[in-house]
Amino acid sequence: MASLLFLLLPFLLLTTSAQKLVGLHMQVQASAGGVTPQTGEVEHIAVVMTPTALSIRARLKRTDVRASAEELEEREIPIPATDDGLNLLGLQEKLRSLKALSPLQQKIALQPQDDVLAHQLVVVMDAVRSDNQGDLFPQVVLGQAP
Amino acid sequence: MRRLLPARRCSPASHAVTISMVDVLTVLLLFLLRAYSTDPPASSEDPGFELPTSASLDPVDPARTIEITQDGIYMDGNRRTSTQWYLEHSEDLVREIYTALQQSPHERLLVRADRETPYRLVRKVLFTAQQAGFSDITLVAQSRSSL
Repeated sequence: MASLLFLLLPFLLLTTSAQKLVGLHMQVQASAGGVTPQTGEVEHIAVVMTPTALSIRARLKRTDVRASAEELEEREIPIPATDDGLNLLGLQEKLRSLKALSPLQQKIALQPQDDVLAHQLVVVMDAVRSDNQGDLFPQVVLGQAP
Repeated sequence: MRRLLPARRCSPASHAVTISMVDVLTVLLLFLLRAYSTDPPASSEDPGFELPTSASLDPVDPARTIEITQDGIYMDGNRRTSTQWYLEHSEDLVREIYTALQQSPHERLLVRADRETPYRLVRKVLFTAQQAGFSDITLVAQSRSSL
């Protein structure tokens, strides 16, 4: 048994790499279109990203009894930064509450500013795709900050 | 009949050492199987190139690759242009890769950007790929479980 393990170890070390690569699948926002509406109360969600702050822009169906069925309201939810930088936990908490309003919604638009760095982009993409409770919005559409 | 060779006896101490060594090797093996990957390493012409780190678990399938380093934009390992020019100018279409991408549209595309690359440049590369007909684009990162 020990000899077999001794044989397997160098074989593994020689044939594999210590760097494991992963892919973040995404869509690029079309110039004219946006994120297609999904079922539920949330029509559209976008996360606007700067190197130091985040904010959510959500378009929600009005639930007021006096409102018509197609009436929408725009809501902007700022996520203040923490001392460590971007407040990813705060972002996930707000996104989780939006997900509860529209559980079938899968798409989210991510709109970073031009000076956001690639590693910050990847961290936020991870944060919007899932949290510790499960999937949030796994389909990320990359756009540009307004 | 007398035995020619005396039977080897394992002392309890050496038996315990063997068992613990097998345990250590088993743990090491499991760790290597979890942390190592059969993917080719993300080598780059730029020695300072470093991929961003992601918590994603989705594997990367081979496809056409665009690499954005601090120095230049590479396609399938060949340098096409410098990053500096596209950082300083407002032109969105990266012409040097647009023509080459147009020759194989509707395929999958991998984008490997250095972790310090500004989004301005990533956006231009994505825009160029989209204009060339690519819709299936994957951003490559290094797994958090990498050593």
